Amino acid sequence: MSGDSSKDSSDKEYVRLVSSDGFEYSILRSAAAVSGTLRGMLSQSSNFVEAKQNRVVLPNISGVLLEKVCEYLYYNLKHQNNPGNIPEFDVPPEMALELLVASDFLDV
Amino acid sequence: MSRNAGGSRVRGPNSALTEFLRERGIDANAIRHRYEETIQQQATGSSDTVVTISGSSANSRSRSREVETTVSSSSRSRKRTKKKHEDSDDEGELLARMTRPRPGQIDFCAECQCRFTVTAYSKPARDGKGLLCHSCGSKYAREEKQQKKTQISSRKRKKSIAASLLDKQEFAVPKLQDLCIKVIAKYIEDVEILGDIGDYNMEKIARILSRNRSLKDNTLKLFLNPSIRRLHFWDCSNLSSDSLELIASYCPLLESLTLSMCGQITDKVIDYYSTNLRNMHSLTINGGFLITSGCWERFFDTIGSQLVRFSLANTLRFNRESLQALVRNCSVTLEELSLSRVGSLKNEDIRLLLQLPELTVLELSYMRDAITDDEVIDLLRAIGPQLITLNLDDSGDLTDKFLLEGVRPYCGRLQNLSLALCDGFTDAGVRDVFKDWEFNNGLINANFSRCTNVGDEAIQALIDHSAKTLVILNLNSVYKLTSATFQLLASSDCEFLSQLDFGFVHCVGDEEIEVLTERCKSLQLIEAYGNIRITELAKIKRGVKVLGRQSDSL
Repeated sequence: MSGDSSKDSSDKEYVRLVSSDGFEYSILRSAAAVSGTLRGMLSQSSNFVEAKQNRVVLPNISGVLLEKVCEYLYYNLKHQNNPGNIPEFDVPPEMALELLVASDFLDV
Repeated sequence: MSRNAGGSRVRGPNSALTEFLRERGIDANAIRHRYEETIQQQATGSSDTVVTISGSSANSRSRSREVETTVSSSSRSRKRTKKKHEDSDDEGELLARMTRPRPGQIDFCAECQCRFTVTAYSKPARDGKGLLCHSCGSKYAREEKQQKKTQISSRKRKKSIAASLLDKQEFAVPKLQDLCIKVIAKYIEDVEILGDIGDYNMEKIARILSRNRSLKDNTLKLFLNPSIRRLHFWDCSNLSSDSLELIASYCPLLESLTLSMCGQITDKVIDYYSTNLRNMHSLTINGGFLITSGCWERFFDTIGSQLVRFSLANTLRFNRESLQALVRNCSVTLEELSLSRVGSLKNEDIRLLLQLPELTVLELSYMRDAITDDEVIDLLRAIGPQLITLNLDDSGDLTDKFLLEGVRPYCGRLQNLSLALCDGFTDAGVRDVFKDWEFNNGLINANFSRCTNVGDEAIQALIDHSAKTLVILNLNSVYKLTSATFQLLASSDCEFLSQLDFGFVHCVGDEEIEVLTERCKSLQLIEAYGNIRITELAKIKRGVKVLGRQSDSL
């Protein structure tokens, strides 16, 4: 997930999330759309900078947290259509509080 | 013959069941007698058939004997066929046992034709002819295991869906917020400070802690901060009176406070609240049974003039003097008053409420002795015209008079009416209230659960009156209803009806529930506990949750 994927044809399919400490994660657009906040920022009908650049800067979320958030976005995307028998999503207790604030902001 | 039919009254020890049956007047003799009678009646009723069977006489004794003979002969023939079945089964089994090779013998595998030594664990082939060698057998064993696994997991899945249904939750991937909150609640003992996680999340954590019974003196402090304006704790049973006092010293700006199951709260705490919480306008105390009536008087004298909402439940010490103090001080501001299970109030005390002209929400529930027709009618004459919510659950002494002389003429703005467990109303009485009740624009929330004397006419009149406005309708245990009422409900376009409870109303079956979900477009939640005629075959529209169906949990 992490890092410096090229900015070519995959541009439309993938979006980039930038954490407060400069880590960049490029994830599937459909995964990002799980989050209500990101969906709004990236929606093509809007005129936001984020939508034009396909890049969202999240100055209130650190890299470690953002990685966990991305993990959850994919977890949700994968199990969306079959919510019956899904594995548990592991939330480490030490980051639970910060993650709660982040997930509250991102509406996931 | 019965052992105690004789004169002696001596009885040996007997089981609870025997005792129960005797209490109910059920005994074996009576049952047999009844059975013989029905047999006889059948015989006389359908004498034609008897004649054809046996060629007949008018004499009843001989007729009954004939019936007996026919019965016994038929049962004999049944026995014979059964025996035949058993014989054939036995033969088949015997044959299979004889043809099955013994352990130690050499046989050829039914599948791969290889030679192998038969053991006690050799598996028969799928079609039942021959045995399988070890490798083929273990291959099938693996498949069987897999099958069992999927079966178990599907059963588990069904169970978890049923469980989440019971919590009235959408069955979906859990939100990350909820996952985090669960983890936080689990490790709450290790949390030093919750930080700025938002009121909504704070409340959620408080709820989970209350449910886990882990809201204690040390965890309480996490929720207290000087800027907070609303606090709701649903289980304060582990909070000492000292830490309850802390609430007022840490959160001076508090406007709304809920303390449930606060058995340790004392006069001292309430006195402290009344002097320190200068902004409080809403207080809910449930289970504060140590607070004395004198303390309530002081409380209302100090802070009463700003109270908008006051709710009290489960106490015996809130008496006439306390209520007088409330009325004296709160008459200008108080809009919502709820007294539930306050056992120390008498029916003449209810008249004091006449002096609360601003009330829009009134609950006087589970106070059986205090609520009688005349007092409540007088009350409604004074405050009925602006009442929006009226809850008089479990007021068994109320009769139709209250409905016809209290509710109908005065409660024009009423939207929420809850009369659960009021068994004094009759079908005709409730019907007459709702019939052509143009004064009122329709109820939004109606609760007639366990009004056992109410029936079709009443509920049909309610539907005629409020079909366009009803959102929540509770008809739990209104036994006398027939399916005609539910057909009317379905056909009267209840466009806003979203919650419906018809638990233990036996007439509701698959057909009724299908039509209801089809016709009531907004329906989201149906509670159907104890409706055994609703099966898993009922075609229920997507998006409608059905709770309590037997087939969901099996």
